[in-house]
Amino acid sequence: MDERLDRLIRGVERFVVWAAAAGGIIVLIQMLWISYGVFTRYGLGKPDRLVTEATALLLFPVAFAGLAFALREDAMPKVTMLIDRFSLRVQHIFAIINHIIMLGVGLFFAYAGVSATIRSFNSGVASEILHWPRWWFWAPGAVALVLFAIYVALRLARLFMTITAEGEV
Amino acid sequence: ETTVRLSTYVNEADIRYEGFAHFANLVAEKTGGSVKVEVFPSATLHGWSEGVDSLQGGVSDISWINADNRLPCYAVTSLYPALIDLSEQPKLDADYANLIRDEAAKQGLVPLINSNYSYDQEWWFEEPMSDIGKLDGKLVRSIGPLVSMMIETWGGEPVFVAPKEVFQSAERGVVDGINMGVATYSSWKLWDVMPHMVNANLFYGNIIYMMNKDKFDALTPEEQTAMTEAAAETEVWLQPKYEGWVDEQVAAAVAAGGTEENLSAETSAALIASVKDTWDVTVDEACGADLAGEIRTLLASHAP
Amino acid sequence: MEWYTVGLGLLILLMFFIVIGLPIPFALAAASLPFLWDIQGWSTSVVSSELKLWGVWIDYILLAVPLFVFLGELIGKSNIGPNLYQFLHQGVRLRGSAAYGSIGASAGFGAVCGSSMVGALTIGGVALPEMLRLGYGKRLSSGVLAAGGTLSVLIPPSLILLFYGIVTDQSIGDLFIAGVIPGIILVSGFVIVVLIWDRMRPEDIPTSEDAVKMPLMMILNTVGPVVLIGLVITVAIYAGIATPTEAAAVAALLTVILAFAVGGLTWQAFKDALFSTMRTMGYLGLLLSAGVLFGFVLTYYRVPQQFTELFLSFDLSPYTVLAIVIVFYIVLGMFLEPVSMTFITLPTIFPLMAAAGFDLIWFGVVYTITMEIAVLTPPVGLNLYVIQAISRDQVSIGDVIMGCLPFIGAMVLLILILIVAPDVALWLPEQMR
Ligand code: NA
Ligand code: NA
Repeated sequence: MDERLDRLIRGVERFVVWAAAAGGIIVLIQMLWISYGVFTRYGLGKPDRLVTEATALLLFPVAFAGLAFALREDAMPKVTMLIDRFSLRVQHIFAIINHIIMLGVGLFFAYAGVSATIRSFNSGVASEILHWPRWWFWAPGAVALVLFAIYVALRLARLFMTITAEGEV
Repeated sequence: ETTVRLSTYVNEADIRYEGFAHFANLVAEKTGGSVKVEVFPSATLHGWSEGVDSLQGGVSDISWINADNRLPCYAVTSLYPALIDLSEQPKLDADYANLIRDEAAKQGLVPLINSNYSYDQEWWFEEPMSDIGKLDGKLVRSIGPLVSMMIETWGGEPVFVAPKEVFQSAERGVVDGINMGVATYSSWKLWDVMPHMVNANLFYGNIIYMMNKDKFDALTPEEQTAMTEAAAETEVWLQPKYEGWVDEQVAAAVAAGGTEENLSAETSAALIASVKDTWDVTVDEACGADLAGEIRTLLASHAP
Repeated sequence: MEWYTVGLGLLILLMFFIVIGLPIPFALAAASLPFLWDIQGWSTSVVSSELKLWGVWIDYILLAVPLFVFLGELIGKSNIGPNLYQFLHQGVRLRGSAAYGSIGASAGFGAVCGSSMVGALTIGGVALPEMLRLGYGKRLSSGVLAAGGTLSVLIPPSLILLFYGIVTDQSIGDLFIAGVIPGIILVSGFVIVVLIWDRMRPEDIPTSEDAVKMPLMMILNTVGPVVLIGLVITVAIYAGIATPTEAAAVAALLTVILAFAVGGLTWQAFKDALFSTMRTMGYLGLLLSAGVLFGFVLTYYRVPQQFTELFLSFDLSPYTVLAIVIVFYIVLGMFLEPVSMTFITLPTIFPLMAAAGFDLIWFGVVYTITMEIAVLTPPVGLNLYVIQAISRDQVSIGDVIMGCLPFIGAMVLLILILIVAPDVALWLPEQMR
């Protein structure tokens, strides 16, 4: 059972890394596109009409693509001054509580992301200027948030299992 | 007691904010306090393009409505190339809002307050400009499809710049010109970087503040009347103050070394004529020929 | 609920979540969501959250954030960042050179990096083990590096100044340029702190240091790129050639090229830099959104409006207002981190400062210094943890905290200098006009 869960977590972590990689590629695209925009303005005397609006819209997926990755890498800013003073067992309980809260927050934002994708599929354009469908940008954000919720749920399950394991010892 | 949340993009230093405060007071007075309007300035409740989403989702009860595709006719007529005499502006706006009413109802919205900015839709340039019909490849910031089409027709290059980036772009020479209202322009302190204004009078412009229809219908008939009357009275109250404030801003900018160029009615008419037919096709498509015709008749009846 | 009940309730709930070790972005969201549900119900609060998530992140100016983070990571992951420290430490052959080298490298890295955590991590990661090995005191070593990291947010480019500019609608270019001279003064201040430290506790500084001399070519390959990239950013903004976002993109592209060409960047290190960028964006994405949501809940309950009315009713003098605001940020900075503080409190505070007659570019610099202090004060002091994590087995969090105190003193002194002589911040941006 334990091994199956670990395998599942490793499988999901592959998607977590891919999501971060996809975000990284978007950052590279933004870097190149904006630099090209500066070049066309000064080099060719003709501005790129799309660049500011399009690259700004692309920022939205980037903002959430790395969320699960940051959790995996333990890169979230947090304060451990107090809980470091407790025994490992108590720390484990705090870890469970924190994962439950993160799961709750993650599920709420994932729900909001999916709901926004569905609603923007039926309505709005991304901006008044660029008439790209807004859901193009919402959808990857929603996927990243759902991925985060799944990942944190699995980690929570593992935390529960290890505490029972410890209890047996 | 009902609380009504009014969301606006104008900030507290803007004269139009006083208009909303005035509206809130009138509503309280007329309903004996049974309806309380809370004003949220500076787009704190939602962004520029999210008025419809915010109203439909219940985040705000009254919001400005941008050129949203869910209101296709309003999207292409709330800014319309036309020469307008503003002496009967509140009447014109009320009639226009009535023509949009059915379309708004389909989205669960009721037009409530008109914020006419026809008086205040100008062009700015880094260098003095005498003829905006000859843009000679100048890069001009556009606010949407209509303005882009105009800039292209007159030989310029429309550039898309997000609102927040306008100041930086003007400062850095990303654009040579900007199309925008004086009020917004002043509050963004753009006079420093693009001081030469062309007052062209090319548009009928009206951003309507709409109310969530369910919320409106839930009010008693007396309260509904109080709301619409308060809105109409506020429009009349605000118009001279707004125009005076715009004039003041322009005068201050001219005193600081800017220039103001007023186009003659003939020049404006010629500029409008050069783009009107193209835009009319878009409007016919979005509104249907009948409604499009009614809107054009209305605007024509307010020509100078 | 009364506005002060909501304000205090939110703050207490937030503190509780932070203290039990919940990551700060989640603590912000978890504290605000119950209040949001209470006032809006489920379906409206979903829409509110959607609008806030979208509204925060569709922003061309914010686009500079991943680009500046990426740029800093590229320098850190190539040989340029580590060599910068080696060069400065060995180039200056005097007593305490490793400490002065840390300050110099932090300042130099600050000219290409906008985040104080990345700054502390990059220079600290190389310099802290080296200083401990050479026999420097734990408190001095960790303090100088934790504080040195904060130079990244006063010397442009700076994420804090960028966020400040977005919230207050001030020119990012002016803000960046305004940070230059105060940044140089703070660097001098840090040097003086080390000089005094040496007088008072000479046992913390070793008498001799073994150091290998760096070949000239390596020096050029280290200092050259940093100077060039820093210049590209500053000149592009100063001379009005490009917007800050464009400067960030062009500088990032230049950094990729230089790091590969002369900085010894490997393909693997390039990928690492990109993933590190996404790691930072991963928490910033939720942090900004949750911070804005937190602020939105306050606004919806009209807490800022009521607070402002109450505050203005006291009719305080401008300098009293300023003193209250600075103390407020230093105290709040103990419990919150800069990004969320900026998005939650600044929309309410900056109109008060403007109304009191203070220049908002000047206040941006003062504000940024209070944020530098915030990352160094416990319990929520992110740089403290970053530095301690580098040498966890040798340095305790208490050592880092104690080590930072004199450097915080230098920052407070700089705030006083700015109050007495506002031109320290405003002179340079005025030359731009
Ligand atoms: Na910096
Ligand atoms: Na702190």
